[in-house]
Amino acid sequence: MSVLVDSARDVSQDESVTVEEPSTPKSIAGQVAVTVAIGLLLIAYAGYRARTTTGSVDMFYWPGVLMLYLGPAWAALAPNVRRSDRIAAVVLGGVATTVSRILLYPTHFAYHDELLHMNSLRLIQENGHLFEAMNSMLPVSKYYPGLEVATDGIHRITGLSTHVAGSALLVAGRIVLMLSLIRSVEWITKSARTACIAGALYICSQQFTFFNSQFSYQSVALPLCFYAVYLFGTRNRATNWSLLAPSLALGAAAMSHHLTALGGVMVFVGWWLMAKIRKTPQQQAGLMALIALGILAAWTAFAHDQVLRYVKEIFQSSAESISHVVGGDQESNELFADNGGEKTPLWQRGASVLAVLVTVAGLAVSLLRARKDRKSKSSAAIALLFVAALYPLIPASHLTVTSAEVGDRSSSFIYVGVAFAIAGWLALLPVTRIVRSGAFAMLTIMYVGGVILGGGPPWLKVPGPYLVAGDNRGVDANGMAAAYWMHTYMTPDNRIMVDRVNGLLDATYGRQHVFRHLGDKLDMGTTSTLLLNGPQGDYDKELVRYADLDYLVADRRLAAGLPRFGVYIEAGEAGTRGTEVRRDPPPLEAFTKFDYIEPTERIYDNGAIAVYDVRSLK
Amino acid sequence: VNRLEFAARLILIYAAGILGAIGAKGDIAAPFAVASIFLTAELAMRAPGRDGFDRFVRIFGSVIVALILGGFVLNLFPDGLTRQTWSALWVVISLAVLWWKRREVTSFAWLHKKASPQTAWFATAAVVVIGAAVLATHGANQNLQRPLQMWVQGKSTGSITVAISSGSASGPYRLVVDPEVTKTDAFDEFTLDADRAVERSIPAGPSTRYRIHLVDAKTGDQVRTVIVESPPFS
Repeated sequence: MSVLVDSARDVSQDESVTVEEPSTPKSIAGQVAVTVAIGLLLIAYAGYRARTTTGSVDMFYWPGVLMLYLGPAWAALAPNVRRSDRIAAVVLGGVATTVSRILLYPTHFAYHDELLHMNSLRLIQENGHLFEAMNSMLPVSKYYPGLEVATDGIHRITGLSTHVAGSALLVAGRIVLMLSLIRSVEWITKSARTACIAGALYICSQQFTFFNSQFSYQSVALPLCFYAVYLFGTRNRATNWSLLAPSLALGAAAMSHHLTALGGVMVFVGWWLMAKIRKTPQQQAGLMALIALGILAAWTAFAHDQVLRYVKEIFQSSAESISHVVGGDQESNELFADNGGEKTPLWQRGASVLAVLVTVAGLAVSLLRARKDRKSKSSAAIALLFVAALYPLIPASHLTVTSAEVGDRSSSFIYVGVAFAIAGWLALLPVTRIVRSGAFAMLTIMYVGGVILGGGPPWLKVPGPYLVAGDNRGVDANGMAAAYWMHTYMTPDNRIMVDRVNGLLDATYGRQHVFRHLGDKLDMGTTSTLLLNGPQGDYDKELVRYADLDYLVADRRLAAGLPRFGVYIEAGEAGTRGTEVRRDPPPLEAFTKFDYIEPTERIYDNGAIAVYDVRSLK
Repeated sequence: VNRLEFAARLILIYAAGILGAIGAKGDIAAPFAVASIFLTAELAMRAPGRDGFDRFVRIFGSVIVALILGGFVLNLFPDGLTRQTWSALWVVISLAVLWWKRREVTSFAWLHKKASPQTAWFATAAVVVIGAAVLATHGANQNLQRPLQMWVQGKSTGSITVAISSGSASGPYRLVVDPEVTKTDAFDEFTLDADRAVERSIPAGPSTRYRIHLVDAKTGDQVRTVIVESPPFS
């Protein structure tokens, strides 16, 4: 017997199946797999066209994105589908979103966070040991190497490239996440249909398609947290030994990502609190919460010199941004526009707003309905409904850029509650064609809105021509060539001053130590003027000595436009300190001035990027 | 596990371990390793009353947890995380699971089942996904062709060596040096083959700052430049 019980029914197995539907359950997973595969093909073609032509690829990309979801959503809602097909279809939909991103960048990781972690992986592989070499661009990752360790293991055991190994890990993680979620909700509600609707709704979470699909530490920690909850909830017997498996899973999550592990711990604590308040059997929820807290505390103590500072900075800058906006010192985050001034198309803005409104409305109705029969619900169900009620915080957090990051990250957990609440409501509606069509339309709107909101500006979603400081769109043949050249012709671990995107490549593929304030604990505000200001006379030489630099990498294309993500190098650079707002790109002389500073040498040139040897200035 | 199956599993475990340890290429090692990992995890996760999805999620979940925790264990050894230690660890885990589940009997009844219409749908989907992967990889490879690059290959008393390469055949080019130096073969026109670097040595006086330009021989445009300080004569 499971330790979780609830009163919801499996509509597919009871009298609410309408006469218009055949009574024997259908097998449709294969057909859904074909629709999903066609979606993937369309997305792959969109990526291909984006690289080989200059026209818009929206006419292939968006139908492809839709095709990934329509089949699974239909399978989740349909009343007469076999349980195994229903679950398989929704899991396919979840996995397909991860595969779609791999198809857009099939040969290498290209996004900012992905390259950060590829660099952490490189450092581990070069060192052979954990917790030693520090990634200057993300020092905290030294203490949270779960993603890198698992990727290294797959790479070493199978002989596959690190990119293929990392991609395989992401797909495996997505399978674990989807199945853990669906099986947990199924155990709570005793309804496969409710569970699959919840799974289909979770795919609509704005972090699902992009942020939690990338090669980044939360992408492995989140499935492990869900897995721990699943293992705990579906134990056959409530013995102390039965807590070993969920504890190990949570331990692996704690070693992978700080904030996600915190979220996982809060799930267990919330579960226990709810059981205690409602005086229902705890089934060791208290002991599990205690173990979870112990794991988190132990790992945080081990990583305290980096993690506390890192997390504090995130929350502090969020609080400061909000207070600046409220106090009128700073403009609020302009919604639907990037820092380069490009606006999101009108239909996408409309779809996003509509998705939020539909979610809020659906949630309100669901929570009101759930309130009526709250007494019959398990503690886990009540805890999830409370979590769902936090949803309005996510759109509200988009007041500022930094608070949006905190809000978006918490959405991975909050959306479990949202999915659970709305699924519980949808599953109990009469199964008529009209109702089902309405529910299908609702899920589709939420999904499209989630993809738009979570994917950031339109250019970020697909490959295409070079964009200034445009993360994946800043990664091109020039940057890769310079990085590979460094790998071949320069000794490793030289200290280099370089912009945001080339820094990621030069560290990951060029094996260089990229100067950053997080890792080097020096002032980036002044040092960044080496790359962002025109000639500064002897001050440039002083800065080279201050930062103890060996090389300087100048990408002349940065003078062509404002940075798409707001910074050329990193937050705190010249022009972005405090409430400063950069209005113009740096002058071209900023990137060529070292041609005239003797005795520095320009030792490499590929037309866009030049490498200067500045060791002679030290 | 009957004797034949036990032996087959042993062979697979050792084959995967040895191929991993000797650094065999992914094309050869991966099929053995993936089969070994999956079959070991599947055997470990068998339990009465557990349905297919429960086993499936536990197979993938347990492998991820085992890899992460296994990596931390390897970190405690002097050699750390290497191809050999990872392979050895996986062999040990696989053997332990095989011994633990030695009384499990594997059913091969599914081999005699008729393929359902669903199988054809899944096969179609697999073909479409493979096509998508081929298309995506083709596009990505086209996009990463190396640009025209020029760099300082080395410098010694009396000469500076530069190298030029490109991802595609191009040219003709020639070198122009400022300040001017004695004309040598280094200044003859040359063309580039794809991904084959061409080196040119340029005579240099002592302690002089040289700007070496790569010039398109047809248009006369300077397309790349390096700047070098020549070493003093000893």
